[in-house]
Amino acid sequence: MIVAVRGGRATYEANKIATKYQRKYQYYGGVLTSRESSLERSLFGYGLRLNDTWKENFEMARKINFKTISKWILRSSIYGIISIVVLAVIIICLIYMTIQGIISIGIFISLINAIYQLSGKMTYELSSQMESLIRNREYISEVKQFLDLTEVDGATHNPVDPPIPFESLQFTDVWFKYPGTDTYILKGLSFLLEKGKHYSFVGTNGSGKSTIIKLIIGLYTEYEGEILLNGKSIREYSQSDLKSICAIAFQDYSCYFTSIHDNIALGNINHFTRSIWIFSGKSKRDCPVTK
Amino acid sequence: MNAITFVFYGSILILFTRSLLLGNISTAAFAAIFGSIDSMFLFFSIVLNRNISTVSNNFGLVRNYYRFCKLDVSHGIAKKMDIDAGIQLRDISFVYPNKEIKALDAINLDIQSGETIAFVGENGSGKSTLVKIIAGLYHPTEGTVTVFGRDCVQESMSNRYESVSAVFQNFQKYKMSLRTNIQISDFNYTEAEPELEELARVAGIDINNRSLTDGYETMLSRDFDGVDLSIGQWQRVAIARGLHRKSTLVFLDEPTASIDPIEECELFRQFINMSKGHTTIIVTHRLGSAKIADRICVLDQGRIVEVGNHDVLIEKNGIYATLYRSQAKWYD
Repeated sequence: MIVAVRGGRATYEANKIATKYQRKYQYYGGVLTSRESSLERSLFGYGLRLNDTWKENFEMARKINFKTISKWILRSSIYGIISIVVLAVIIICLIYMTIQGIISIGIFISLINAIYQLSGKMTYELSSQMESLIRNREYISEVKQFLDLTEVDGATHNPVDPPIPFESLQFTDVWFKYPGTDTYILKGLSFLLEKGKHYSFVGTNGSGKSTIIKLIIGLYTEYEGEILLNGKSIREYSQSDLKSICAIAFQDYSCYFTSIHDNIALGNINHFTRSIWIFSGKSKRDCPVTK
Repeated sequence: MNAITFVFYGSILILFTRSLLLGNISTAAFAAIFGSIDSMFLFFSIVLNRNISTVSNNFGLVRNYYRFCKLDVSHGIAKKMDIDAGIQLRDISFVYPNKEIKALDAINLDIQSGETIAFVGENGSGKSTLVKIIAGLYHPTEGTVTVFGRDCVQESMSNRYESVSAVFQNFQKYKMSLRTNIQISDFNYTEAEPELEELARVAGIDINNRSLTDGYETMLSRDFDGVDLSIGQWQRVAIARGLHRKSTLVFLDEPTASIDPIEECELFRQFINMSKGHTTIIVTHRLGSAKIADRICVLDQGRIVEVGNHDVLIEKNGIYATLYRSQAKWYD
């Protein structure tokens, strides 16, 4: 039983390591076969080399799994041998008793059957169930750790409807660095945006333009200084509020494998089924976007 | 399957119980037979269930694999490259699969060896499609492409891309190290460290940037315990990737879309330097960068409408001149 417990834990740890390699080779497999990378894959011809890397990672995962399974088979073989020895002893005793006429042949056979089945359950089945139990317990404790991670309230809530009107946005001496880094991206930034006006943020790569937007939509809240939206600190707004005020056209936008209508309608999730019209420059009139 | 087993099992059981009750067999015999039949049934049900279900599962897999094996594999001849021959496009037409409209229609163009030519035009005019056809990545529906004396369609794949490099518009962001992301364009050639640094310098990659924690070995993805790069940084990696592959024909498809204007200017200067003697094809929206080309080719709805250098086209006062002025207007 103790061996089973230790075995279960070791198996789980080995599985975790093997999974790291598995994720790697699954990624490589994706690059080697996906449509997105097909142009570069053809032109640059990296298929064969990447295939070797795929194989390296696959072999690492396989070897770990192989070791785990071999250990397990060794354990169950040992159990098997032990149970065979015990069985043999019992059978010899029973044979002796049968020969002596103490028990009939029929009883002998049924006893042998029963003992055989019982011994199987006692050794093999019990230990494998024990190992499964330990493995699952380790897994559950990790799931629990995941569930205990801090959540942002309302991250999955829909934007407020009707949307909150925008009046003003004010940054006052805002300092910000991304979590886990040392370099400040925004250093004492201050500005005021008023309703009805159009503003452009320009600057070189890495000057912090996109970072400002990420702070406005509430993606990060650990900043120094003050950000006031409509006169109230942005930290006091719920995620739903912020989502309703902002509409964004991202630089690295996503393409969704669904209809044109749905791809556009995702921008206004509260009115997803509303019909959409687009002005066509060519025909100089509004055209409906059907599914 | 289970129902049949149950019925048979049940009837045998009833038979034996009847015999037992009638006194035909002893209790012990009953127990013995019962035990044996039990294990026999178990054995057979395992054999049948497991094997039949496995076979039927894999049947679909095998059939698909067979279909995959039967797909056409491209072969082709291997002709020697004649760089001085340039590039000739004759009556090229192309229709995307499942579409009816021609993406390219009767394209005829001659490109001199060593020339820098820019393809410009509105979205959907066919610029990127034409690049892919010249590169040999797509086969034209009609017409022939001859690159340096070789017919693109007939040439074998390994030869077709020999000495061709590109910076794609939708460049890939590989979840691998920075070094691999650059050298992936040609694994057969891994330059020494100083050459790699020169590449990075030309592309504008700042190796000393704090986000590149392990230098060239930095994993460029959060998925494998690495870092995230900004779009501008990724674009530079893609440029370095294109430059790493030694080539005589280079395609640059919107290579500076995510780069700020000052850097863009510098990058194009470097491009011109590095592409002396090479044939370069640039696709761009930003007509300012098209100016550096020897010739500009304007595409509209899959056709070539104007060809010439910047000054000639401005004088012509056609589509190019209109596009150029409408962009220049924004900078006034």
